[in-house]
Amino acid sequence: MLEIKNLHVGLEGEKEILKGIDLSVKAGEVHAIMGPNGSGKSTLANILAGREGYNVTDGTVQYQGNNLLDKSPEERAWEGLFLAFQYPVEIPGVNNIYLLKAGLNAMRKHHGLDELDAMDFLALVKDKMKALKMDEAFLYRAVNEGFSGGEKKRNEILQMAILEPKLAILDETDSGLDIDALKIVAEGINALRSPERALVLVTHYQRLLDYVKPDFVHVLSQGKIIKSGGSELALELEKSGYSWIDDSQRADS
Amino acid sequence: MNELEQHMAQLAGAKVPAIERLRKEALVRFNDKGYPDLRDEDWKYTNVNPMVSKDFNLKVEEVSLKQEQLQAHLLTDLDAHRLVFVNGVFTPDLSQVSNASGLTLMSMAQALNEGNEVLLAHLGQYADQQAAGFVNANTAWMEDGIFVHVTEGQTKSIYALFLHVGEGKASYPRNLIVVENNSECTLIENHVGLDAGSYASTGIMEAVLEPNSVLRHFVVQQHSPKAYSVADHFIQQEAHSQYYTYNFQWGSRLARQDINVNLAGQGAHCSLDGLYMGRERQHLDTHSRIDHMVSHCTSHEDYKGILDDRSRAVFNGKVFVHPDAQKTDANQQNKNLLLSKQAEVDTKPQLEIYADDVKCAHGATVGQLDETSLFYLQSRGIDLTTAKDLLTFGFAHDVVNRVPCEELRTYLEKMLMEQLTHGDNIREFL
Amino acid sequence: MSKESNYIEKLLSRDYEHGFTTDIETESLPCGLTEDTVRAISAKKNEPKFMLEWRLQAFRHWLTMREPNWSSVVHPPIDYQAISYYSAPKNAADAPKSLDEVDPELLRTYEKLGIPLREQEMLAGVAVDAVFDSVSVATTFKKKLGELGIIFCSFSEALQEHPDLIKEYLGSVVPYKDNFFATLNSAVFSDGSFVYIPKGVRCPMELSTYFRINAISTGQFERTLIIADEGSYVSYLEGCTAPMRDENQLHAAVVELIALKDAQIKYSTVQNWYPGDKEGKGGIYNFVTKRGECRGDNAKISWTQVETGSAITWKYPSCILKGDNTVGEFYSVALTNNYQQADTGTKMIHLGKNTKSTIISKGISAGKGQNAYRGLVQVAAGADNARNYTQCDSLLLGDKCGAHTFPYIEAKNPTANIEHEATTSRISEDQLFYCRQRGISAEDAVSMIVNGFCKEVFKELPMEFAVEAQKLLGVSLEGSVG
Repeated sequence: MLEIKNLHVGLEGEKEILKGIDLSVKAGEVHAIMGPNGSGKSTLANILAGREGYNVTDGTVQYQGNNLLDKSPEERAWEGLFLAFQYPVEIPGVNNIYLLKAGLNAMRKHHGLDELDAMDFLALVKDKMKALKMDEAFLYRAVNEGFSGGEKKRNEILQMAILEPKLAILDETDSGLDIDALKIVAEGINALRSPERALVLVTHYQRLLDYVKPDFVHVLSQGKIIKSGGSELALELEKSGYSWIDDSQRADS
Repeated sequence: MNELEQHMAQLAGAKVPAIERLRKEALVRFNDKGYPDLRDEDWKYTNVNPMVSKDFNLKVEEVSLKQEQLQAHLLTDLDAHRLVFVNGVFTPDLSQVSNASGLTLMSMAQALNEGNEVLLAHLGQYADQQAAGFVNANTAWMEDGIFVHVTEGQTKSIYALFLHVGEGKASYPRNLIVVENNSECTLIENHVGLDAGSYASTGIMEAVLEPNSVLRHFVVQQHSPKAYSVADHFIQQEAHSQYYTYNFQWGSRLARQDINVNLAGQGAHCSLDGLYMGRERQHLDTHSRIDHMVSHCTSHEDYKGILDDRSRAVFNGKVFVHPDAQKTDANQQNKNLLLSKQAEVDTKPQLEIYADDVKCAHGATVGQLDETSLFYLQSRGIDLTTAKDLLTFGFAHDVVNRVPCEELRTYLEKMLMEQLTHGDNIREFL
Repeated sequence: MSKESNYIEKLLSRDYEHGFTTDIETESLPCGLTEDTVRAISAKKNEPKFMLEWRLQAFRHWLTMREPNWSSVVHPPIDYQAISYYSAPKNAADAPKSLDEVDPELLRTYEKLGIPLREQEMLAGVAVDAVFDSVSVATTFKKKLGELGIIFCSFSEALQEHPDLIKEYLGSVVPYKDNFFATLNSAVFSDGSFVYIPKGVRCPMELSTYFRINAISTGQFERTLIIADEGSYVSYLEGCTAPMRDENQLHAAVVELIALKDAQIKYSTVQNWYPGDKEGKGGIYNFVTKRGECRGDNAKISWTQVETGSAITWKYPSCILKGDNTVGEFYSVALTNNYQQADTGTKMIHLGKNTKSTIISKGISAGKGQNAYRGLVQVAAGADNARNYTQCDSLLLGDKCGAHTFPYIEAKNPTANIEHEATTSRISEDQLFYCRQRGISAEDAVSMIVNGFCKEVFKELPMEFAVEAQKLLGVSLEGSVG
């Protein structure tokens, strides 16, 4: 589904952040990308979703057999790529439900489907919200405005549940959550696991992986994947921290 | 020669052609423009006629001060160079200046007479020549003040104490501060009226902050309740320089202060904090103008005011973001407390923005002491008058508390307490 | 230029939809302004003597006045002798008795503007007074309103039928000496709307005036007077458009509102005069004086305006809170694009006790547009317990525009509580990216964010107007869900 080859990325006019990433994600798989702060995890998530301001200097990204990099962010969204933001953005005055409906209908239109009317949409949303233990009042508040950290993250998962992506990238979705909220969010994520869908979890800590078990774990450091393995790699990281990475890299150089 | 010409011939620097020229040009502008009146938007709420129509004297007889009169204001605990001015003139006997490397420090009169090169390069360059008549008047008749030139490192604080005694003097204090690359300077200006005389003070400070320099500037204005004072500050900031100013005003019958900051180099930051407190028939006017000339500068302004009796305050804070000054971050707050039926406040925070990638905010409030807090204190057995003073003190102290100099803070607290009607009553609570 | 500004540009570069002209025979006074012009206007309308006297007083005073220059707007000098002060569709000279007598060309004009004047075709619940150039051409639902004692008619008609009301209230809020443009209006105003709501009556429908400037070289000087008697309520809407013409046209209107004890007036405006072309050529100079007085206790006046048109807008709908417990409100969205300039805001004058005012102002600047909020909150010495809350937000769309805030706060009473907040920002890259990641196109995302920015004001507008306002900002309708 996703094929990243030798990807080099820098900030516009500045130094390289990703220095040759290779990653292959197939439908039905759950990948975790772990690494210390500043290793390039969020850059990778952003570049896949099409954020401006980065410079791809080398490499390719194929998504469902097509070049992903020349598509606009909204085109990627319509084709099933979803990014759960590390810091969900506040949009004053715009109702949460309005954003949800506009996004879903834009996607349906792209696929030649009829737009959902207000009633059908509301029924769909209410159903999903129940699963995430979200209060209906959320819908009528401005997007993320005045939401607590946990509420924002749950809102991201709600959006994901409604847009039903093919490839979901979750950027530090566990950060800032207490244990109860973490469980709810993890349930939401697990509910979306299916053979047609791939998930990429970007995370600093291992604790989300206690609840969402990955098939593959990759360790990212200084812009490169330096180690890949099964879910046991996450536990190893949890035990020894990231310091061994630095050590091993120092040994390399 | 008429009296004025005679006076000018005797002023400091009269023998330095560049300075003579500066004075003459200013006089021409002054004669042309005169003093501002209420039709001038920047003077809409402040009538200076009571000040400019009075006959103050450019010269008065010398006075001798007794030590006990000024002891309270000497800040002897503070490790600082001290320059004392009496009725606008430098008084070496009361001053204490030591040699320090990286620092040139002298009275303005001396610097003018010497024709100091750094002084000549900067003097009058930043004071807006189009500004109100007071700026021109000062340049024409500037008398004394301090000249500071920091070339390297961080010097100990400079304390400039301007004392006023007796009646009728018109003084024109003038300060110039030049802080070079990577150096720091701390300046405390204290203006004190020792008795209840009527006099006028028209001051200017120009400061130049070269790249990566820091200037901390404290101003305490406690002129006599019959005095008239006008002060203009012009701050020129180069890249990554930082200017911090803290202003306290509770003196003068009529006081006007203008702070003009020109953020001319990227990454420059300025921070303006202030407190004005009016009693009786005082009229206290604070104007500030911050010009964001280039991108990536930040400015912060937070002023508080307390008005009692028949006093009136004017606050006007202008933030001007010029075209291309992107990534500007500017915020401004002005909070006022009205304590009496006859008190008045006119506040006008103002934003003029010609760039788009900016974050600017301002807020202004007018209100009174919180009823619930008053009731709470009363229910704890504190009488209403004391409760009011306590809350007023708390409102004001918030600004005093920000002053990053302990000796000055202690002094300000003491002076602040004296401004409150029953200040003594609350001492025990603090 | 960032990509984001490209989307904004696309969104904002739509053409003015109401720019057509109506080919209709008109009767106009020649250009120029003298005492004879004033007499001629008064004579044409067969006005009572007191009206002519009042006009002449105003005219004589106007001659002693100078155009104000304190606002931040700039324009070439206006030649007041090059304007025709009266223009009317010819066969409207004898005011039509019913819609059947109205020129069909005029009816078509209003239909084209989305304002059908035939009652059966109209949105139920809105009565319209249509003003074409200098005169009112039709007023709908008059009979139905008349049954409740409500007077809703053209100003000319009110002068004939209800001269006493006019004599009592005209100029009582905006005196003829008030300011340069109001004084000019007092001398030469040609028509406008008149509303009187009797004691205790709640007006069952929205009253609305639709202004249209058509003729070339014509100034429009209308005068609106609304009186809400004790305990009554009225909601009044005003809309305006003009053809695209290369020269600037002057619109100097005066609106006076009087709310007596326990009365409420809600006044909404969607102003879409021709703004000029992309190079800043042409467009309306909209110099308007609007003021309401809460004359009796517990009265309330609420102004809501959406200002998207005009080359220059210069207006400060204000409230004089004279009675005790009175309330004044001002909700405003002002958009300036290309070379448009807006200098707008309000004055809240607190005189009575326990008075309250709210100001919400949203300015959007794009292109080379300049947008200024200028407001005054004044609390008089006797106005105990006055409350004001002001919020002014500016949104900048582009790096050549400007946003300015000039709030004046004058407090003379220690029980006053005044809060003013202002912010200026632009649409952030983060907001835009977030929306696009959710599948919303960049252009839709921009209009969604702009719409969200204006929401607090739009929700004050009556339903039909809210829809129009959102369309004006190029915004797809939010709120169709939930």
